[in-house]
Amino acid sequence: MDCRERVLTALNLEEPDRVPCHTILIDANNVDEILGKPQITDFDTVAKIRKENPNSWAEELTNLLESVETSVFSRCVEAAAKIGLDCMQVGIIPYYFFDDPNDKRLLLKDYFGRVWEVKNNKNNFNPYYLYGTLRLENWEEVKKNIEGTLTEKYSKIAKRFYKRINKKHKDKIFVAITNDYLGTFESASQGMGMGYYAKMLHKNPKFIKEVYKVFATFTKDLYMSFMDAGAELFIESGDLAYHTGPMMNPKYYDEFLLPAYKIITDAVHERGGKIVLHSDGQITPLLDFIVNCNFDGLHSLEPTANVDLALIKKKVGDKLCLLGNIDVSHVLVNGTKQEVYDAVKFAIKTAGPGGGFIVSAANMHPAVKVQNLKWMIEATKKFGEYPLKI
Amino acid sequence: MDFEKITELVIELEVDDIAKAISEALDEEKDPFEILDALTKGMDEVGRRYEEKEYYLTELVLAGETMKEAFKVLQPAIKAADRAEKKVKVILCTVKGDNHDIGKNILASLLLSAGFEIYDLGMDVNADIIVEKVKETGATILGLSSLLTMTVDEIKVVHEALKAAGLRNKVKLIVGGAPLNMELAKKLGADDYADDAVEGVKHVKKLAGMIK
Repeated sequence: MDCRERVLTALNLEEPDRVPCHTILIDANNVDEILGKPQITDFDTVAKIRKENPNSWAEELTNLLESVETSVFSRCVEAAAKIGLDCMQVGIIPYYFFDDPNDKRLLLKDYFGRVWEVKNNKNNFNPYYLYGTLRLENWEEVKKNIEGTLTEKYSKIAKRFYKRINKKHKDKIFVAITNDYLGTFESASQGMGMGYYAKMLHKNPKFIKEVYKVFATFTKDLYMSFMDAGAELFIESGDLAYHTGPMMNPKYYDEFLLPAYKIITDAVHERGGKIVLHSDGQITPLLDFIVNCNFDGLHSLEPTANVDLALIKKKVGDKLCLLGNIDVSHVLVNGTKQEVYDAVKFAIKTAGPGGGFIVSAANMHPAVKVQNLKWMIEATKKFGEYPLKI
Repeated sequence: MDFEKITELVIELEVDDIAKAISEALDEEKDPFEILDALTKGMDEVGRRYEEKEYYLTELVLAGETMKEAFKVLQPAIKAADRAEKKVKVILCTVKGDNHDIGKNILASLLLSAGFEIYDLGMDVNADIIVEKVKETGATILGLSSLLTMTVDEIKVVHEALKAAGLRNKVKLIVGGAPLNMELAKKLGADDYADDAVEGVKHVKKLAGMIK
């Protein structure tokens, strides 16, 4: 089987030739380690443009974002293929740079209201969410922009972006699409900031429902453009739970989020695609909700949030392909080869039988080590062949 | 404005109405410390509902916002009343490099309502600033939050900085955040760890010797 067949077979809840291996990203510092550092770094470009355009640098940099994002994700896919992953995901993020005279930090804003600080990760961009600016008062303007200009602009960008990356790498790796940073739930909660979001959830739930719907429709439109360019697999970025449980009362997920997610999942399925939900945290209380949203898979299964992989497999293993479970707080950061091997063996033994499982790092961040990722892939190939022998 | 009503406003997360209610109570010359008791009762019930899974993180956040609004009005009255009560001082912040403050903010509100004196240093705070604040305030408890694996080592940096300043044995260090557990917390030099903000209050009370 090639990478694409292997991944899609697992997503069809069948046994491929072996368990596939995936990560949601490889951070740019690790991509540099795998491929070598590019001659010109992101921050070199920022410095040059700021110097040459003291008054309009933010606009100039924003104009470069599409090519920067394409290049960053293309290198990420290349690095993933080089170390032997079967699947890597890519996605465009509708950011723009902005110049706040009272803030010396390099700031990005997205069209959903979030403000990010671009931190320097060994000369690579690393955006960190700071706060949200979406309010009831500016919602009509935000909505109008998303439904009009933004959908039109990013639908075109999406096609170019995926075609360029997939054409270059499709023979070596299966390239999926993610809306990381654009997920319906997190765009709403972070776009408003958690305090305002919590208030609106209680005082004005109709507003929350509408925001979800508009964001989900934007995601759906983007996904359709990606599908026009050949994409088949999507990973919806969710983060619906935290360390000890769901962010909200489960009834809100069913009432508000389910109809929004169905806009996306129905559209993807209508055209024969597959869609996986990514969520960190203790997700177990939301399993029925995830199934009812018609997702094909669930990613993360975070061991540090005490997610019980055996229980998840038992409860929804016949309905959802499971992806993840390899710890990124210790195992893939400071773990020994034996610890990485043990984590992979445990995951395959627990969730691999019968198919419908993909080994994956539970998340990704710059402190994950390339060597540990290589051990994860090595162990998957060693112990993941069907019929399983562990 | 009766005290039961104030308690109810906290429980029902009435963030827009609480400040007015506190003002009315103060205008009626109600004792600010009794108003604080009413708020505390409300937060205790919010905590109970969280533990019983009637409330979730969003409700805790909103309860925190409600308390913030209440304290904007109540704090000056409490200070003016000045009963020279000796409160346990707690410093809270997220460690250097970490901009995730939801858990820290909830803990601050819960501790405030539980009668602690809170010094909230915010997010992304350098060890030297933390040490300086411990020295300045004489706080006996320091709560650090780290949600990123990349920033958990900052806990050790703070622990070492406190040691170097001769303050480590004067302040109890409690930590929280997704990548942490008790074992790792101890390894990094902390005295205690809590899974979430509601648990955190119990642990802080234990550290302060208020409960066993």
